[in-house]
Amino acid sequence: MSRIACLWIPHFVAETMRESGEPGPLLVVEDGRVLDACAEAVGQGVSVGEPTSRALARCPDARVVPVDRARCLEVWEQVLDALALHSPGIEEARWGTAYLDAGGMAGLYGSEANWCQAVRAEVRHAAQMEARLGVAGSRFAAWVAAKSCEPERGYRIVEQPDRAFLSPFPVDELPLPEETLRRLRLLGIRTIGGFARLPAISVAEQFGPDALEAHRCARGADTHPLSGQRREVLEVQLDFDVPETGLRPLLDAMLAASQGTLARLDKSGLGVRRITLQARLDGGGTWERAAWVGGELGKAKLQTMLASLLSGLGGDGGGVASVCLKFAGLEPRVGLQLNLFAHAEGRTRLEETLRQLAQKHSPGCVVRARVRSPDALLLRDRYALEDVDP
Amino acid sequence: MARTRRTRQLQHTISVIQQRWGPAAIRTARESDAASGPPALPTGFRAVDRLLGIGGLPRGRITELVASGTAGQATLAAKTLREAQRLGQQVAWVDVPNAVDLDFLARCGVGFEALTILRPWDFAHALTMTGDLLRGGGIGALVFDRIASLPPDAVEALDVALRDWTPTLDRSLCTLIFLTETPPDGSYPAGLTLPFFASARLLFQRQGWLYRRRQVVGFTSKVTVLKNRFGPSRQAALIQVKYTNGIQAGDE
Repeated sequence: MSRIACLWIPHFVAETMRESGEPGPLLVVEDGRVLDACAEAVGQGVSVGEPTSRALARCPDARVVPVDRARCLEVWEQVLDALALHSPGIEEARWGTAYLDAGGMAGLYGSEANWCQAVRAEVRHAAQMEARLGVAGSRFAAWVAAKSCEPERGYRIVEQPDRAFLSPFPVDELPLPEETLRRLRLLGIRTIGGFARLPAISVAEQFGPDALEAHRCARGADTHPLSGQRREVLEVQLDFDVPETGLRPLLDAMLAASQGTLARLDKSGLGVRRITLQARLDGGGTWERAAWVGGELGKAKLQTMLASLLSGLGGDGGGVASVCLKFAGLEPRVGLQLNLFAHAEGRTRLEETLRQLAQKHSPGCVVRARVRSPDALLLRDRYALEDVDP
Repeated sequence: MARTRRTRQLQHTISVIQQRWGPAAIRTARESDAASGPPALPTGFRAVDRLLGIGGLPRGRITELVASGTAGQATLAAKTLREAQRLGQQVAWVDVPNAVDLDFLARCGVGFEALTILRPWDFAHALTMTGDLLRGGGIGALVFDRIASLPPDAVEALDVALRDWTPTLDRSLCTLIFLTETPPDGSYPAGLTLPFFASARLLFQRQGWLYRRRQVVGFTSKVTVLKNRFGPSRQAALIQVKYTNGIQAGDE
């Protein structure tokens, strides 16, 4: 049985942008709208996405700061790196939310509760934030569990079947358009359990085929697998017999040593999120700088970034005894990763529709053809029609 | 000045409608992708694809193939299903007369592993099942076989169903093909609104039989575009349908 965990850090962007120890409500804005707000501001009625002026009218004491995407990315990367220590598969949904493969963790950590505590402690150590975890059999149930867990405890493990767990929650939790939710309320369907009890064919008739996804979620039948990958870090290490003092030779040597890694990244269709340059100085000190790549990394781009990083190295005195270049956050380049499950999803959807059709009408009305004996003389012996099993 | 004000007022109205009903509800002609036409599904007959102007039957729309007797409409429908299967799509055949010819479909190249056959009890049941299947999604092309002389209540039911299916088809990009059988005199069923809902209508007229050593080995058919929302209409092409060595098609 698959187990999926949802990690949710409430108000991640706002907490990232908050200076340490700074009190009071905080609004993080972008393009004149609220991107995120701290718990205190939300408590005063501020909602994400509304214009800044309206948010300030609700919460006049709030401090408004523009979003620093690089900083948020950096903190989020630290969180993901921390998660990679405890899970083989991580799929990030958005800043502050990620899904983890939790299969088999109970055996490794003694129990799923121990694993949740270990993950939360790791996140606390990496980003100084309190994360909430929900563990269930499907990603939607895990998300609802993470949102509904007690803040003091910080995690919720769903032991019962997902459908039974989701049943009492309000229907507003489902990923449905506002108009559909309004119609459901008019029809008197207020809980996820009530929505799950509707026949799938009726849901498709009333709300369109797009609502079937939410219907599957409500029934705990969200079988969409995690598309996360193991977070791998590639390293290029260079040791100098004679400490290198010139920046240009250092740059050339690092570029030459990185050729194999760049070729491997290109062949695998992978992009890089971040490169980190660590240097051990001749005098015994260490020096480290990082830069965000955020996608495809070619030789020219690497050269520019390394030159920029190394420019901060001068003036420390002495030469460089060794350098280590780390390529972190490997992920498929944008536009190159195809959805390998698209065909299977279409097929699964059709199979479900055909089963519903066979149930509603009769098995004999929905049939599939099969070649029985292609060389038979009589046509009736050559092919056969088989009912679709409802 | 007044023109600028009117333009601004129109833009505001458009944005209000888009906020309420979605961005696709109203668009200016420049933003619309209607000029480029919808995606098309090849028919397997190059001459017919050229006639239609977009390279095949429009996806997400209704196409009607009209014929009287043997003229190649079922062959074109079956070959279109084969082309859809080549694109990785699942296809369906609504067998209203319960007389589907599996050998014919197999000879046209239709793979059974991606084919579903609906065998309704009657015409109204066929409409219900087709609607359920379209709403469920997952089908790339569907052939409704077939419409002949219909009683008035069936005509009315078809009209209601077509109104219901049109937006569903647009969302799912399923190609819906109706096979319409007309009497030998060519009269069209009275009251049928299918020509109004169809985006493309093709008329098949058999021109003559093909012989080899006094054996009929196929026929030649004239395909005329009666209606085409995405290209020129009233154009015609000749196609050949041969029985030998399976069913083959050649353009002339």
